[in-house]
Amino acid sequence: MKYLNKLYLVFFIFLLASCGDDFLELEPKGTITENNFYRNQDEMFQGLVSVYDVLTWGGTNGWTMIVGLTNAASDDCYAGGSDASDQPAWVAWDNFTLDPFLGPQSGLWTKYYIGIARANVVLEKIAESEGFDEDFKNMVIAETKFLRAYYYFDLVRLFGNVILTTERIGSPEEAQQQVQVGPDQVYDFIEQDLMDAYNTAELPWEVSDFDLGRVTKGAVTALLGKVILYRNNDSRMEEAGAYFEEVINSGYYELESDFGNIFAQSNEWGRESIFEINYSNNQSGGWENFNNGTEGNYNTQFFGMRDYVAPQGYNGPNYATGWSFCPVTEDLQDFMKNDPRYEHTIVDGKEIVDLGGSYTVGYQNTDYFIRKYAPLEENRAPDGEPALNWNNNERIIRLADVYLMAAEAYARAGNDVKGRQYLNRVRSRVSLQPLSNSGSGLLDAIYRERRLELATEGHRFFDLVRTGRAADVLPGFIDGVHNVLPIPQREIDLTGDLLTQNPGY
Amino acid sequence: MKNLYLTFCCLFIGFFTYGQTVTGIVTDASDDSPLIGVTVLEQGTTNGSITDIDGTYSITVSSPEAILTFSFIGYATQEFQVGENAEINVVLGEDATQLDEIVVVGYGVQKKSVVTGAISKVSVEDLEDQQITRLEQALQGRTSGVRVTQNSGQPGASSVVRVRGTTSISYSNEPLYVVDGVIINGGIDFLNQNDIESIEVLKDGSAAIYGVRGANGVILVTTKSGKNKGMTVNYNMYYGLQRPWKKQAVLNATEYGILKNEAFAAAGQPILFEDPTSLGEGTDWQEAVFSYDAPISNHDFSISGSNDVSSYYASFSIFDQEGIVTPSRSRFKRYTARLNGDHKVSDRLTIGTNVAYTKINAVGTAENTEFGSALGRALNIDPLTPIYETDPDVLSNSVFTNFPVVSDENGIFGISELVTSEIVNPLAATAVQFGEGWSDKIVANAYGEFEIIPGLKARSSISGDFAFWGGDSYSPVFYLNATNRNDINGYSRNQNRGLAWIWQTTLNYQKQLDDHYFSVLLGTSAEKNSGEGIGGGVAGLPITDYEDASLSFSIPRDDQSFAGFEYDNRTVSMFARVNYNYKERYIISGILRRDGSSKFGPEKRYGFFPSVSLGWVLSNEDFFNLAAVDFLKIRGSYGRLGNDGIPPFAFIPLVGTGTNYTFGNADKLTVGAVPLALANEFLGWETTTQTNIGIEARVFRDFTLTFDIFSKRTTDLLQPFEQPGFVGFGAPIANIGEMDNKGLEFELGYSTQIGELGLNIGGNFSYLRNEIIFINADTEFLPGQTFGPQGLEITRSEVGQPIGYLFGYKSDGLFQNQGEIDAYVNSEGDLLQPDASPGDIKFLDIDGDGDIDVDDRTFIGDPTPSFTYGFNIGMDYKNFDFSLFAQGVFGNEIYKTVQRFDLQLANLPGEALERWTGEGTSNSYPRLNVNDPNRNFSRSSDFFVESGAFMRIKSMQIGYNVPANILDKLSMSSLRLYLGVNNLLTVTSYSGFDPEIGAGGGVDRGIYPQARTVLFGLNVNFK
Repeated sequence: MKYLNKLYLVFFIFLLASCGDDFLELEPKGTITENNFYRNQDEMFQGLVSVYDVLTWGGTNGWTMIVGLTNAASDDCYAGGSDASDQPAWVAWDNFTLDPFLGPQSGLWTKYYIGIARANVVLEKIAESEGFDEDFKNMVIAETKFLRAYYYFDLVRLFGNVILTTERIGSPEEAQQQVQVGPDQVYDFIEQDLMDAYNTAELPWEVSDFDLGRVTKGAVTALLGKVILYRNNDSRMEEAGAYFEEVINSGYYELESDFGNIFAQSNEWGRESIFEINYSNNQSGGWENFNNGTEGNYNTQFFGMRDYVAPQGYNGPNYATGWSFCPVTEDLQDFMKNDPRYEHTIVDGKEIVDLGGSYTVGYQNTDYFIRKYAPLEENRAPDGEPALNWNNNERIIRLADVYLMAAEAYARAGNDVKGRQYLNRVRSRVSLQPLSNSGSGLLDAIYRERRLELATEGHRFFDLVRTGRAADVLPGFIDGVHNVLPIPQREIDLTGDLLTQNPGY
Repeated sequence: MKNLYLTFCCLFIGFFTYGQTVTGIVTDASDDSPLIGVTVLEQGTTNGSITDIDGTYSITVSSPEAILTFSFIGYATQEFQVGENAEINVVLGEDATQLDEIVVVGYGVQKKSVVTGAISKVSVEDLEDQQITRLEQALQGRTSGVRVTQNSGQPGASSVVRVRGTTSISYSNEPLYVVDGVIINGGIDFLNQNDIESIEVLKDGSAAIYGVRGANGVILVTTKSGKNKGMTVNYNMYYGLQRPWKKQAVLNATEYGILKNEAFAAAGQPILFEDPTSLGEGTDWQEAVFSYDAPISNHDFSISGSNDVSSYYASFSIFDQEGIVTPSRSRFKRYTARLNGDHKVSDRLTIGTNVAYTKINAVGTAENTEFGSALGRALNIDPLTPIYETDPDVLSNSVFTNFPVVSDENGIFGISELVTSEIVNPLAATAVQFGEGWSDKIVANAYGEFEIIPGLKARSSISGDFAFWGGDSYSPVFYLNATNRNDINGYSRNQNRGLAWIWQTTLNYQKQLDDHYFSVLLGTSAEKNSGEGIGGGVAGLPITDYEDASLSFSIPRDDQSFAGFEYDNRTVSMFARVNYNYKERYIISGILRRDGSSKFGPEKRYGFFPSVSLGWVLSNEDFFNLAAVDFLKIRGSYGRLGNDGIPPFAFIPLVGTGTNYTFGNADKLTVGAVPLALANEFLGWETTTQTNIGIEARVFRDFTLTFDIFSKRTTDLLQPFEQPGFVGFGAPIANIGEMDNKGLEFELGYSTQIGELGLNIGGNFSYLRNEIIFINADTEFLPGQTFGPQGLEITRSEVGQPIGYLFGYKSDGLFQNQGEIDAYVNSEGDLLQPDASPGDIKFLDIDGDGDIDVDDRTFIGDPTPSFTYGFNIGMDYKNFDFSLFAQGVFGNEIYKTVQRFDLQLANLPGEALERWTGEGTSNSYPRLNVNDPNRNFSRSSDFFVESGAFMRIKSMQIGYNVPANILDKLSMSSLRLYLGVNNLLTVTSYSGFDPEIGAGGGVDRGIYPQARTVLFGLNVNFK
């Protein structure tokens, strides 16, 4: 009997010993512990890709596509949708009835900070890295800094007073130690990042077809000029102009001869393109991927005519159906109706109905729709949820924009000759007569031209705000308040006194 | 001593070879008084008699070999062979074993009379006449403190099971299921109802024996074993037809035309229908998607038996159910087989195995979603659209000629020109869905138990839960409407497998030393739950039918997709339990478990879970002399339980992929990688501390009563630690927050025999209150559910409120005239609702700041019932029996949001006919206006909230036991035929399909209702 007891005791001890810490020590699968990552160039490059990834996001905490939203906020478009309650956040920005809870701020704020946080991780990891090619390293740093600057530029234009995180936040405690700064400090930081990228010798003007989408010297230079332009300091306009001229004279870009070709699917990364966001249907995502998961352009779905059925035998563009957001205002329609760019900018729904086509009338319907990013059957994704997988690239910076920014910079610097020259370069492409305005008349002409040339591309709202014209043009806009969005209330709630709400909200 | 003596009175010798009559008197052993209502039964037959007021009986038996059984509640049953006796007098003694009812407590059993924890039990007798399809349903309404809400009426649908409320705010609230000692990880639907011997629910600190997984309650299932000498063969079957018991009123075509015209006219827009009355009735879409004769059937066959050394139980069953909604896409079929066996190898060594195999094939239709479920579509699509389009003018328009519209053998499905988005023809949508899910599961365990010295037993068991599951799906090319179409066909399939093994070893010592009883349990357990799965799909197959779909077609790589996963979680544990009692009067029990889990990092890997409980059996005291009270026990427990229901590896920083971008014009993504959420190396258990006080009593011999009062506090709630957005990374999971659950529970039983009428009644009643005490320093609420594409917020979890409460504006009727709108002003004299017109809802300025805005949203309902109850009545009279079982809840609200108000032309509920059309016409349903300037329909408000109280007769049944003389000819020992109705009646004021919406969390988006079933069945016993 005693023998047996001992046997069992041994048995027990054996059992306990075998079930120690080793048994519970597991390695994750499908994810990698951070300590084991960023060790080689491939892994580091994956880190960089994650920073690019954020460019395509349109579904952060709701529908937060910046082009569509700023169209709605501007006088180019209304909010639209099926009815007033379809996207209250869009309607609120359109009507300037924003408050700390209502509006698109939460998604936009989150999106850009995720981009910034990812950039901070890459910069941290590459600084710690050892044994990488110097070329590779410098390229990654330059691209990351461009992207960080890009995200901060949108963030500062949207929110003004923001948290400036220049390093990764690694813990809840570090989060509570951040500081809110004014726009000047943010702009300084953006310029510094862009200057660093600008001075990176390895950054090319041109990339191979396989690398289209990666940051180029042209993108950095154009954005740097644009950022300086936004600082609204007339004494720095020459400097901005010089950057624009560097792009214009680089020899890598040319205006499309046919305006209608700029937004053709076949002409992505055409000769006029300086920076585009690459959208694709490669992810074949569904609704479960809505929040940042698909690689598609949600704007396109938004801009299309709702429940569109083409007229029998229609030989116009083969539109696909959409959700009737951002109906073009009568004001823009009226402003453009005699412009040669009209047909490539605005879809006249009445014409289609007259031919026997149909669509469901949405909220704030004007029967005018956006043409530039309109959904076309030939671009519709073959799999996944088509609404979320439009592959239309966004033309973020194109040469005509750079010409007009150059014109503005020089005009504001007092160089009307150059101002007119660049303005008329854009006009002559669509066979418009050169203008001979000067002084403030020239500047007005440049601004008019910007609206005509760049309508519904997401520039108009920012142009109105930075040039102080928003309150005159946008009903409900209060200068000093609606120049920026309210900081999401949640951010203030989660940080106590760290963040002060923007004035007026 | 329960043994009593019989008296033979050999007054005369019977000489009848059959039809022998036996008489006698039955008396109580304690005081020799006659016992009234004792059942006297000829064994193996239904021939029986009852003692009368003098305790006498008379029965005619078939032969001298007949055995008579004398049974009476609370007394030990006795058996006598008749032999040649004409008179048999019997003295019955109180049955100590009845009080000695055994309760499974985890790693062992205890006598019910000395149990000190709050444990509810459902035993085989309670389930015999029920047709439950899943284990959870066996608990519904039968156990206090366990709220079971069936997710829906979809065949195979699971239930929400909450033992004493919701304990975790963000993670798992599922109780732990343990079947024959095996922890079941992936779904409990593998069990065949007829294999269940008993179900015990550990509700309080007694669950500490399962430590880190005990906080949500532990449900212990014991399956049957062979008990009877010799062999018993059972066959049970039923067949029934199911149909919906309710339709929701919606507008017919004419009403639709009139009301839509009104809504457009009110917005100053042209009307849509010139002559609405010409539209007629239109299509009844609910009629079209419901099935009114969906079959349900079950066949169950078992053989069991035992001898001195071995016992066995073997069973096989087939269950088949078709759904009542789009039955081609709503089916559940299950096969089960089980073999349980025990064998005494020697006096000291026993070995045994339980092996169960289950195969399930199931198809489910989308439910409870506003984005395209069959019922949601049926309620929202206009009644003008025909099910099948036959109008040649329509068929010649470009939609029908240009696109792959859907058809079946009856024609081409109609397409709505009015209602869009996800609201397509529900039958067409069903016709383009193909595929099914399946699972094969084997749960097996083998044990050996060795008695080392008398009273000391060592037991070791190895258990495995092998699960294989998967499914396939085929999507043809189709066009349902402009936004719902598929241009390229696709077929996908996934196959997964998991193995969870547990090795458990216990040492158990029991000893009675004079008046002192001790038992000590020591145990260890090691568990690994791992698995993997792969799935893939191809697009553009050269086929048009599901039957031809295959992954073996050669498809270009770009049209192939592939994904997979792996998981592995491990736990090691040690546990101990000590029980002591003195004369079964004073009882103390202590439990301690130490768990180590791979879900936690080295800092917090191990946790201790103690509990202690005390009991005092007053009725065993010498001084106790209340004659009416047969048994009385007061007990109390205090324990700490854990919950580790979080994803693994939340404690170390991880890098995940999938943050991709497309470079160039390439048709492929470039993969990106990024650190995931902030890590929390100090992540630990969620702890629930529970105090329970209970009373158990039996009075007047026939009444049993259990009462419990408990208070549960969950601390260190596992939840994402919300970070400001500028951090740029996901929230770490952290231990913050506190939540309370408090409640009362009653269980009552009454069982008696009145003449030939046997009666037993049971009932239970529970009250529960849940309250969130603390979320986080800067977090007052967590967001909850939303509705529609606009993401309208309709539930929240907030400090001081019950979890997931309904959230929105409060209203105060409708504005009847402009004067009321003009009079509704703030202190400044500004209109509170400047956009309102007469007939619009008047919303309340809850925060009193002088406007109606988001800050005025508040508590408008609690989805969790405060009260749940159930009761059953069983009667038998001669060869007939009757049973009724009902169950219900009250003190909860439902947010009913089945109508898509964002779609201007969606159909409306029938209540819209009673809308406001002028002063005094309605004070509840607002006017119609397509622009809805007051946002009557597009804000969350109490307009959508209704009481969720209901009382449902879950089952009612009449059975007939075929008499012995017929049985003999059939070689059967018993045959019972029955007719039953399930869900006969649901008493509720709720206007939706079904007030039982487990899946919705209190939000009804068009739930798949439970069916009313009429069924016929039989139970046969061969001997």
